[in-house]
Amino acid sequence: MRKYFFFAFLLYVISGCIEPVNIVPPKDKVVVVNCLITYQDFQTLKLNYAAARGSSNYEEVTNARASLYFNGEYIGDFQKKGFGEWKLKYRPTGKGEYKLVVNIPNHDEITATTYLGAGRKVWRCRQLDSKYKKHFKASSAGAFWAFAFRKDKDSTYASMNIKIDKEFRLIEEIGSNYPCIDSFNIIDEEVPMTYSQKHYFYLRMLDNLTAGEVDFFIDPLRSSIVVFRMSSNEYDQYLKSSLAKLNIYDAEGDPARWLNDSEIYSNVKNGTGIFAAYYDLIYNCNDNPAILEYDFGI
Amino acid sequence: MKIQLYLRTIFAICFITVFSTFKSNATIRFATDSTTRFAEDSVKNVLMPATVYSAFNSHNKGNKYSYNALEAAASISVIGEPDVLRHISSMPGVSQGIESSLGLFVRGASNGGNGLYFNDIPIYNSSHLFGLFSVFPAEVIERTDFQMGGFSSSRGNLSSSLLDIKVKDKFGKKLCGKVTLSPYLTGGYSAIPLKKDKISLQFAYRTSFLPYFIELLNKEADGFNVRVNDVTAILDYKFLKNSDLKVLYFSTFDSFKLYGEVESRSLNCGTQSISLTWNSKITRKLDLKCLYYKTKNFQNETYKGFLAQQIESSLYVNSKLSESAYLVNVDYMISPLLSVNSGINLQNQQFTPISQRNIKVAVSQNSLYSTLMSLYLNCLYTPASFITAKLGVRYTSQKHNNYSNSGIDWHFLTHIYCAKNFGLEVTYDKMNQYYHSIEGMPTGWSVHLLIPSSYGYPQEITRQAYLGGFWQNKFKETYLNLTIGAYYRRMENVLSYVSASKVFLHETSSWQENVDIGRGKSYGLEISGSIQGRNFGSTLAYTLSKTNRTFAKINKGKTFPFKFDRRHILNLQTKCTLLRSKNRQGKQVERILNNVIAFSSGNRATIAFLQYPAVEPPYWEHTHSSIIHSNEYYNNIYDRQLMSSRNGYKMENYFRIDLAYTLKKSSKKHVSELTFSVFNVFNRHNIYNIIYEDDEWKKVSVVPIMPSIRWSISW
Repeated sequence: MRKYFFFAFLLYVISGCIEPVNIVPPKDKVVVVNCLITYQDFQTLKLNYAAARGSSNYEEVTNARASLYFNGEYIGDFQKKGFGEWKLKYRPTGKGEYKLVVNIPNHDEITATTYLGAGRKVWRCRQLDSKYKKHFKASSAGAFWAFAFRKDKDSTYASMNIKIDKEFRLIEEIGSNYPCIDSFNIIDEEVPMTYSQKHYFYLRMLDNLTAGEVDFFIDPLRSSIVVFRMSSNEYDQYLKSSLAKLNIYDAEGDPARWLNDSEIYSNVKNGTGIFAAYYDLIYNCNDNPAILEYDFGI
Repeated sequence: MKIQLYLRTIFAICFITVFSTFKSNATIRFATDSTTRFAEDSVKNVLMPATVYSAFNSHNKGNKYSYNALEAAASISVIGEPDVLRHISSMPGVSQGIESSLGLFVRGASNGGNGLYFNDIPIYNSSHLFGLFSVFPAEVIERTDFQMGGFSSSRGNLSSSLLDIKVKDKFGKKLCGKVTLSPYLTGGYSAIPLKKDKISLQFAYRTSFLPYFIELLNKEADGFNVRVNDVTAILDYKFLKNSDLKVLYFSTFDSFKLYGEVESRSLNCGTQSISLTWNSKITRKLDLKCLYYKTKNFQNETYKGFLAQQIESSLYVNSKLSESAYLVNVDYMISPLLSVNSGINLQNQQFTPISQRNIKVAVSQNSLYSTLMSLYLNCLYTPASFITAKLGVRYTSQKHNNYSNSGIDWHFLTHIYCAKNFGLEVTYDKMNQYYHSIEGMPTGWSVHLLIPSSYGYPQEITRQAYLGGFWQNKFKETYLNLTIGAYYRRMENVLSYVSASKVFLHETSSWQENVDIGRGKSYGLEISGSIQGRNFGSTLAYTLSKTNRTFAKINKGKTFPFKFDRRHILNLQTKCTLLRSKNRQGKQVERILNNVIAFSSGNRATIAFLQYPAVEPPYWEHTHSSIIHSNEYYNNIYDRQLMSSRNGYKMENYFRIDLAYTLKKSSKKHVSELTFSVFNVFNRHNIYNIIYEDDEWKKVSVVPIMPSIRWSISW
C-alpha cells in the first residue's frame, strides 16, 4: 500500500514542494512521568518536562512529592537521587494494584495506576520433540512479550542467577508457532510453511482465548536465553505503541511518515509518560539437551 | 498584501452581486403546475438563456443544485477537464480533502456517505488516478443533481449527499460526436442513430497518454506502468411512443505497476456496470420504471518478490463490492394537488474487504453477503399556490449472514412562498446507511474499505434539519438567485480508523483492530448566489460550519474536530464572453474568460510538536541490527513524540485563483474549442501538511501552478 501511496503522492507532490516553515511549539509545560514497577529492591521514577521536537535536553522536575501506594495503602515517597531521577527503596511482595501520585507546585495533581502480576505463566517442557527441540507451555496469561538472546555456546547457570551478558545479542528475527502473535512488527518475507513467521526482536503474544495450556516453541532457539516479559496492560500498550511508531520511520523517504498520527500510550493523568509494571521469566536454553539448563522466575 | 487584494476583489464582487439583486424587480412567477412535482427532480432549466455562465441553474433553493456539463466547466480542474463530480466542490456545504482530489465532504459527513448514481447505478469507485479526475465522461451526461437534504425516499442507503447523474437520451437523433485532446486526458464520443427516431448507440472512451510518455522518458531499471481508461456505451430504443428501453454499460479501470529487479507490485481498481431500464408512460398520470443493474467495484493488490535464496514470494489481496439490484418505480398523479411516487428495490451485495495482512498464506478473502429489500413512498402535496410539501418514507430490511436488521428513512421537504420570488425551504431527513465506508484517512481520497453493517457495527444513522430562504429574480436580461440557510446534522455509528498511519503500514492483523465506532455532529450556515447575464455570469458559495467527531479510542475519548472541518469555505466562479464575432471563413468566434477564486480555512492535522524521554524497548542496547534505519527511527527509541490533540492544529488558510481562456469557433457543421487553463495562477503553496524532517519543520504543499491546454471538436 505504501508504494501506491508513494506513487499517488508523486502525482500530487512531485511538482508541489516541501519548504521550511517557522513553527512556534506550544508553551505549556508538560510533566513526563516514567516509572516501571518490577521485582527489584529499588523502584525508579523519572520526572522531567517535555521539550520541543528535536531537543533532547529535558528539563528536570526539581520540586515534587511523589508517593507510591499499593492496594490503596501508602508505601512511601520517592527521593531525588540524580538529574530527574527519584528512587524508593521498596521490593514488591506480590501481585496487586499500584498507584503513583505526584504533586508539583502550581501544577494539577498527577496520578497513574497499574497492576503488577505474579506467578509462573510459562514453563519449559523437559521432553524433546521430533526435531530435538524443547517446547514451552503457557497458561492463559493475558498478553505477554517474548524475546531471546543468542549465546556463543551452551552454558549452565546456577539457579536464580542467569545473567544477560553484555556480549549477548538480542535475536533480530524471532518467530514462534504460538497461536496468537500480534503481527504489527512482522517481517515482510515469505517463509517455508515449516518455519514460523519472523518478527523484529520482540514477539507480542496475545491472550490465548482457547482453554487450557498452549504448547509452543521459539524459533530459532539454539544456544539462547529466552525472556518472557509478563507485563501489565499499561506496559503492554506502551511497548506496542512505541515499537509501532518505529515502523513509521523504518524506511527513509516513505511519505507514510508524513501522516503520522499514532499516539504513544500513556496512563498518566495531567501529564504524560508511563507508569506500569512487569516481571520477567528467564530461561537458559542449550543446543545440547544433555547440558543442564536452569531458569529464573520472579 | 496580495491576499488582501484578492479578498477585497472577492468582497467587491459579492457586494455588487448582492446589491444588484436587491435592486432588481420581481418578474419570475412561481410555477405550481405539474412540471414541478416529481418532475421537479428532473427539472430543465427553463429560466436560463441559451448560453450558460453560472455554475448551476436558478432553481436552487438551498438543498439541491442541478447542472449540466457546460455548467460544470465553470470549475477549473488541474487537468482542465469539465468534471461533474469535482464541480460539487464549488457548492456550499462541501469541504475538500487533499487539494485537487475528489475526496469531498458534505455537511461534515464522510466522503463514503455520498450516494453517487450514474443513471441509477450506484458507483463506489468514482475517480481516476487517486482522485485526480472523475470517471464520468462529460459528453454523455445530460444533467447532474447534487442534493444535500430534502431527499426523495426513492434513493436510500446513503448518509451524506446524493449525486444523481443522468445520461442523454438520443432515440435515433442525428449523428453527433466529439473528440477531446489534452496532455492528461484524451477522449472520443459519438452518438450513432441506428434507426431514425427509434434507436441510438452512444459510445464514449477516455484514456490518458501521459503515462506512456513518462514511461518512454524513464531510463531507470525500476520502472512503473500506469493505465487509465473508461468506457461508456448506451443503447436506447424508443419502441413505443411512450415507452423506451435503455441498456448502459460502464467500465472504468486504473492500473498501476511498479517493477524492479527484486520485486514488483501492482494495484488495479475499477468498476464494471451494466443496467437495463424500461421507462413507460402508461397513462397521462401514470409513469412506470423498471430497472435491473449489476455492478462490480474492485481494488486488488499483488506483490511478487524474490528472497535471497531466489524463492519467489507473493502477496495477493483483493477488495470488492459486487451488487445487483431490481427496482420498480411508479409515479402517479392522483390530482393536480397530490402526486405519489412509490417503489420497491431489492439489492444483493457481496463485500470482500481486505481482510488481513497475510503473506504466508496467499489469499485470505471472506466474502460478506448483504441483502437489502426496500419499500418507499413519496407524497407531494400542493394545497395552495404558495406552499408545496413532500413527505417520503423508506423501509429497508437488511439480512447479512445471521444478522437481520431494519430501519426507516424519513424525508420531509417544504417550500413556502412568502412573495412571488421569495420563499422558505425547510427539510428534515433521517437516513440509514447499511454499509460502512471507514473514514479517518487524511488524504480524502475516495478509496475506502467498504463493509456491510453487522453485529458491533450497526447501520450509520444521520439526522439533519435545514431552514433557509431563497430568492429568485430577473432584472432585464439578468437572472438572479440567492439562498441562505442553516443546517444541523447528527451522525451515529460512524466508523473511523484509529490511526491512518497503521493503514498504510499494514500494521494490524485485521481491519477491526484499527477501527472504532463513534458519532459526529455538524452545523453551519450556507449561502449561495448566482447572477446570469447575456455575456456574464457568476456564482458564489459560502459556508460557515463546524464539524466534530467523538470516538472512544481516539483522542482519549474526547470530542475533536473532523479532519476536514473548515470554518470558512468560499468559492466564487465567474465567466464572461469577451468577444463574439465572425472570422473570414464565416465562423462564429467566441472568446470566453473563466475565473475561479477559492478560499477556505486551513487543513487540520495531528502533529507532534513536543517530545519527551522514553522507556526504551527491553534490552535495546543488546540489539545489533544489520539494517540501517533513518535518524528519526533511532530518535524514537530513546524519545517519544507527544502528539497534539487529534486534528488539533490548524494550518494557514487555503487560497487559490484559477483562470481559463477558451476560443470557441462554430460553423454549421462543427464546433471547435481551444482552452488554456491555469490552476493556481499565483503558484501559492497552500499547506497540506507540516512535517518534521532533518531537524526542522517543513510545510508540504500539493499543487503548484498547473497549466493545461485542451482542444476539442464536436459535430
